[in-house]
Amino acid sequence: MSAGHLIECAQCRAISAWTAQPGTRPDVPASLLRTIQDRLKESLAPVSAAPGAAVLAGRFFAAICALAAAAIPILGVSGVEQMTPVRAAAVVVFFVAALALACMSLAWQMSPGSLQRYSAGGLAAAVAGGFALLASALFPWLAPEEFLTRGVECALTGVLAALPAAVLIGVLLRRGVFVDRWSASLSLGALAGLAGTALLELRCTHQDAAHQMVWHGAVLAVCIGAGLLAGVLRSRAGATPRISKRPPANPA
Amino acid sequence: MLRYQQGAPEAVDELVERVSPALLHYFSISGAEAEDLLQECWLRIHRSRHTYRPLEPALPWIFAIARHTRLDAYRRKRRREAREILTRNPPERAAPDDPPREDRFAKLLGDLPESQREVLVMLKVSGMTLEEVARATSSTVGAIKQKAHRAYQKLRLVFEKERPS
Repeated sequence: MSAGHLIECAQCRAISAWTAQPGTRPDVPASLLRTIQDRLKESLAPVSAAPGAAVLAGRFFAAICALAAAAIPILGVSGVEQMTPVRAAAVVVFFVAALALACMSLAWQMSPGSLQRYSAGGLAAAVAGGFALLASALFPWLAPEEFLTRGVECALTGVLAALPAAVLIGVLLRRGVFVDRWSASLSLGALAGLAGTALLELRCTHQDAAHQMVWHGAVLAVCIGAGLLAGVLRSRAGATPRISKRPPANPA
Repeated sequence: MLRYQQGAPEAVDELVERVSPALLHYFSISGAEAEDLLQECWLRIHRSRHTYRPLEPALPWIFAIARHTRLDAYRRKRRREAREILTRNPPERAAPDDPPREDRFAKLLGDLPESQREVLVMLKVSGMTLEEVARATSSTVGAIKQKAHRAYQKLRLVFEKERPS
């Protein structure tokens, strides 16, 4: 309620004054306060504060790049070699931007109370929709050959490529405290899916829109879905947030 | 918070004394286990203190953990109640030592949906800003404004009914 509205509206003034009454706030028993203070001081030690969100996001991005550098000699870059310069540039820009946004979302979520400039669900939907749009706009619509056989092989490769990304980023997330488990799992799924799909774009020589949308898109969908399912299961199981028994000590 | 992270015992005392009343009020809105939740919340705050970023506001960080504590307790209670078998003749309850204090504020808030109640308590009782509440609830400022607006509208209707004609 704005100050101007409070001047005009008697009812809102009454509500505002009422909520500010001292009687509405319960007193904390002194014995309880002492118990809490003593309990905390038993294990009190200096801790090193987590770095800022931008630094964390940079680390995630660097980890994905390192994974890609390791995977390229194995998977090859035949796909990019067949792309036109415009198509290649658009694909690179899309994946760099989407990965950066996903890394930032995870970095924000690692610290409770961080301002989430966009939701994990919104990001996942935007990534999936954006990729479908990119594939349909950039790649030609050709008559599909061995659509199912080639597609399944591609999708499996993409999901397998996403797994190391999920594991590596999952390890980096251990120091965080996530207050919204399903949101964190969804973001991790989206990030791993983007990593797997990006590697697939580098490798895959099937440059037709239907193949890209369905089978490369399936990698994204499977990873996002797996993240969502993991988050829902963890929320239902009531798993406590990943808090180590002792926070990291100050190396100094 | 910085001194707490650096391991200063006096910072613990000061922080607990200053923040506990607001936290206890937040927990008392949703049930009778407020003091247990307060203790559990402080333990989680203690174990999570390394995640506090020095340049960020402290209240949203604390209330985000408090909210998570409350939601976990609610889920545990629901799972427990789902497994309980009700007896036909429940035993008589012992009379409480202190009769419950009538809290008109809590009664009125009880009519609001959980999410609106939570936002109103954080905004008006804990004195947090819209952005701080958005941070604590992992939401956006727009969504918080909407919830607060709906909560005020409902409270206005209740006030109108209670006003003597």
